[in-house]
Amino acid sequence: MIGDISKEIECLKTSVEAEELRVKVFGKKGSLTQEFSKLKDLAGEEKKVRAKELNELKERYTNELYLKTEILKTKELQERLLREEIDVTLFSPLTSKGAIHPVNATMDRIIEYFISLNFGVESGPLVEDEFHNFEALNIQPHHPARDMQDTFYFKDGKLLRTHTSPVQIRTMKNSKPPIRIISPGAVFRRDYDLTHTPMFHQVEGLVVDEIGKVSFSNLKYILEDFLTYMFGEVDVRFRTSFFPFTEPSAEVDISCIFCKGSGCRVCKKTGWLEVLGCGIVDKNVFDAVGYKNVSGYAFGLGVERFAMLIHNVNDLRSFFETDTRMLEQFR
Amino acid sequence: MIFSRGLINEYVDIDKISTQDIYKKLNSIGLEVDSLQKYSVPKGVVIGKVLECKKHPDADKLSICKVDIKSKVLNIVCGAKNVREGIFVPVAKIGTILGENEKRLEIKRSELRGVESEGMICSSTEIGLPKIDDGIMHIDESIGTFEIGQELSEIAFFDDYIFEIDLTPNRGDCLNIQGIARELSASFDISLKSGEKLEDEDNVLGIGRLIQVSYEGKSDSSMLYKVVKLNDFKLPLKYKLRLAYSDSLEKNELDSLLEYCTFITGVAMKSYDYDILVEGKSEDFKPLLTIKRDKDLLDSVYCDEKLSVVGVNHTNNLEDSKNSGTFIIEASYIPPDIVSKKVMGKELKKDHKSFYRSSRGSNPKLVDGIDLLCKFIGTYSKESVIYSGTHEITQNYKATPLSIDVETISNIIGHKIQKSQIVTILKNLSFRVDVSPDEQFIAITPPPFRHDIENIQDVTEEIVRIIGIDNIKSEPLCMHECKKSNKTMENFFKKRELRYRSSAVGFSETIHYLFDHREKMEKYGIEPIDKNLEILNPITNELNTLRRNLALNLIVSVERNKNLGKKRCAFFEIGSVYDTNREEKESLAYIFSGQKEEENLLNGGKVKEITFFEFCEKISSIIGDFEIATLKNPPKIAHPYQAGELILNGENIGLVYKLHPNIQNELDIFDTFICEIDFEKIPYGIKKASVFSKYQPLQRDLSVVISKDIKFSEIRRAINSLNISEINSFYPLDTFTTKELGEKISLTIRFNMQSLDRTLEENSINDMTDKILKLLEDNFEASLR
Repeated sequence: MIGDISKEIECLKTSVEAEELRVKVFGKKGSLTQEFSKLKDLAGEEKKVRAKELNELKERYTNELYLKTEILKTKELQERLLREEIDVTLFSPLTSKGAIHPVNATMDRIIEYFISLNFGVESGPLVEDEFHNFEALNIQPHHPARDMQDTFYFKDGKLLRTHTSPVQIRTMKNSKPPIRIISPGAVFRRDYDLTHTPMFHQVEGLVVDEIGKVSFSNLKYILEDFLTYMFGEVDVRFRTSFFPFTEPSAEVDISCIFCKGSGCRVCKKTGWLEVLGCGIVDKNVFDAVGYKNVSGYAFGLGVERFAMLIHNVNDLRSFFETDTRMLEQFR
Repeated sequence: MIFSRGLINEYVDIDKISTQDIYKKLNSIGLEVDSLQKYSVPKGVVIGKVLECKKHPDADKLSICKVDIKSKVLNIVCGAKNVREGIFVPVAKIGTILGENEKRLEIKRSELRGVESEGMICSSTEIGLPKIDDGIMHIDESIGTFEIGQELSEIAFFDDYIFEIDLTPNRGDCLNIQGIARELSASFDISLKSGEKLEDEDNVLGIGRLIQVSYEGKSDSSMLYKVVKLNDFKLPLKYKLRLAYSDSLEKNELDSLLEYCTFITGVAMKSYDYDILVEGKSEDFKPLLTIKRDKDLLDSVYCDEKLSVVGVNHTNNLEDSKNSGTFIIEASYIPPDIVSKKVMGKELKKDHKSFYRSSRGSNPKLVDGIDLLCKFIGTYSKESVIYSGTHEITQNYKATPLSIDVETISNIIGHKIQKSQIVTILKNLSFRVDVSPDEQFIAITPPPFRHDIENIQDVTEEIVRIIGIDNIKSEPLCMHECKKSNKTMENFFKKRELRYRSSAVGFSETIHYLFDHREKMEKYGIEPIDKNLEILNPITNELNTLRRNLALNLIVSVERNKNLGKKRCAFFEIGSVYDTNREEKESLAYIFSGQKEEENLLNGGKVKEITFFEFCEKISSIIGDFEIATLKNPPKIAHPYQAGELILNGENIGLVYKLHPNIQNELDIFDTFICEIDFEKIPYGIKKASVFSKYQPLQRDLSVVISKDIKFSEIRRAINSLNISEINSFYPLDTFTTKELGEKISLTIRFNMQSLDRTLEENSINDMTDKILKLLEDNFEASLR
């Protein structure tokens, strides 16, 4: 006989036992299977009654075992999941990540903006000559502007470029208008104190087209948008200024991003931060590269200045001294 | 330039204009305001009159003063030498707080050597003003009417704003008060105040009785001479304070007056002590001043000896206390471009102040300076004599007339500017304007002090300044498309990708100066750039040459950060380096020093130091696959047996090495690995797919015992030379040594095998491994393990 299978099902502890019981009852040599095989020895009504009885038993036990198995599996899964619990809050950001240098990150953002506005990118040598660095830019040997720039010279008369402007000259000499470029890169001045390092970075812009086409209005338009892109919603102020290679020239200020213009230590209580120089390209510069009947604007900015303002860095020198205490904040 | 609102108001009528508007206007017209502040005389400082002044009985240096401050007479002990009866002085009453922060001083009732003191008589610096005299400040009528007992801060002169402006080098015409007044007049369209004309007094000896002036040869300079006889001349307080703010106050009173005249008018001025020139000469001797060029071709003033160099060296140098006697006053002008060109590149004895002004353009209208001086002497030194007449040498400096047109100006600015507006602006700025009614063209002549105006763009700048850039519209530019694809653009994207990959692998980006230390490079066996191409004027000895590689700077950064307590440093940089001929190229370098990772949960705080192959693996995950070949001549800074060349597509693209243990010891840093790669040689851009097999891939590991001296690169070359197309790739999986193996090692090589056209069968695989094994046996005396 097959005994009290329901009770056996009732007593099952694990899904493994359930499987064993299934084999024991329904397997090839299972007790119920054997009962079915005995049917061949019966006949007639008796066979019919027995078959019905067995089929009912089979259905009942199958259902009971199935249910029991499901309950056991669910319970076992639950236990397993519980066993596998970890304290996910143990996670702490691992400190082996690298950092992108804030000056280069700032430079990237600047270049990306101008590329998106269809500017090309140009570069030039760091070791320059007097012609490209000064003369062609209307900075005469006796010009007081040379006072402003303390220059590294080499024994053969070459120099380390003091600004990225020589790239303007090289680009104009190597191509024809229209021109719309920026030239990012390192520049050098013989200066070292709290607010000066012998090397720093500039991004220079130059646009040249036919005479009468490029105006101060256009310059204002692009710089206002650019500064909003870099600093968010700020007021932009233009002040007339002087550069040998542009005329008219202007310096551009943004409303102080720290005090919103009410005056603080960073803006020296003025409410404004100087961030850019720009102007209409001086005719003497076009003469130097042999351009006739053209008009253009140019602008230049110090990348470190932008990086300091945007990333809230207050020591310029820490950029160049691989001070991980500062740099690793940018990971 | 530092000046007060009150001073400007003496020259242009700004009564109706707020200080904030002046501040904005100065900025917008190109005179950048560096700071704007109020006078800061503290409350509690009042005007007192010294009624009595007696020596302190027990202290030589102290005086006991009775000082009237109206409400009472105070007993004050004073240590200044220049205190005396009858003078007006600032008195800080008891309870007054002077100074701030560490200089904060509260005035208290005190006793000095047995005498009670009920306040303090102050010097100018003690009440927040610039230094003017040694000792206490003497107050005089020049600061306006005042009463005894009045708060100093309530006197109009001290209730004022101080502007400090930065001038661009082209604006020498604004290095004086009249110039700034002129700018404000033009930009606000308000009138200048005109001073009264000065006439020589009658019955005064002419200048010709005292000196003669002549010139020899060519001269570029204009000169104007006057002679005055002074009797105890003293410059009043107001003017001293104004000069002191500009740091122009001289020790000598007459020299200070000359500075003041220059400060106001922009005329370069100098005095000569007549008494010295005639000393020891007969009574009817008349000094002869001669203007001629010196050996540097600079216009100089001689009287037997060289007295001064026009525009270059004419410092006032009277004796400190000399304020009586006869003096020759000289006003001079030399055009800025001429003096700059002549001085350029020469080692001259230069007086910075004189040259600063002359090279930026002093006022050529010399009589402005002389008139102001005479007016002062007439007003403040009644007993002085101003000899009538002048000696002058005048050059004719031709101002270039310009023809400008309205359309060009409008085009530069970007919108239409009215002709009438241009005319008004230029006239207000003292330009001569000749305009015919219908024409586009305007003929203009800049005033003599505007040497910076040379072309229409300069004129446009004047228009822009006065209109104000704020009033120019912003307009987008429509322009032709221009070509953009070039190497620089590509390199920008390539660098950006490499940089972001590098940081993801754990390297932090650095930027170092382009410089290096020549002696250190030599010590480390790196040949510096050619001596003849070297930097002439390095900023420091440690930065005296251009770098040949990025490695040395990176090593310095590792050392610095190790000293800051970092146990793990991983840096990279992309930057320019130079060869010995100073040719520039770009380099990408990595350095890794110390622990391979920070202690953390994953490693349970137990961290090993980075090894050669781990370092290479990191580099490879940034720049892609490469092989490493042995180096015949490893660099001196490298560990000779842990150094190799990076080979990509058969080309050497860089070096990878462990830093030499001696250098690590010397710098006290952990095991350090360096990789420096030629940036141009790193592949970037398009990757190509090749045909791949769809049949079952198989792996076979082959373990052999082989001599230690065989480099894997030799084995690799040999296996490659078999040209077995079914070998997709192979690489060393494991090496180990045991005592039994002796001078040999056990090497396991893994082969990934796959055929393009069939599933590999066992016997064909065996054929291949046999072939390889035979090769290893024949070429390298290897044996199957």
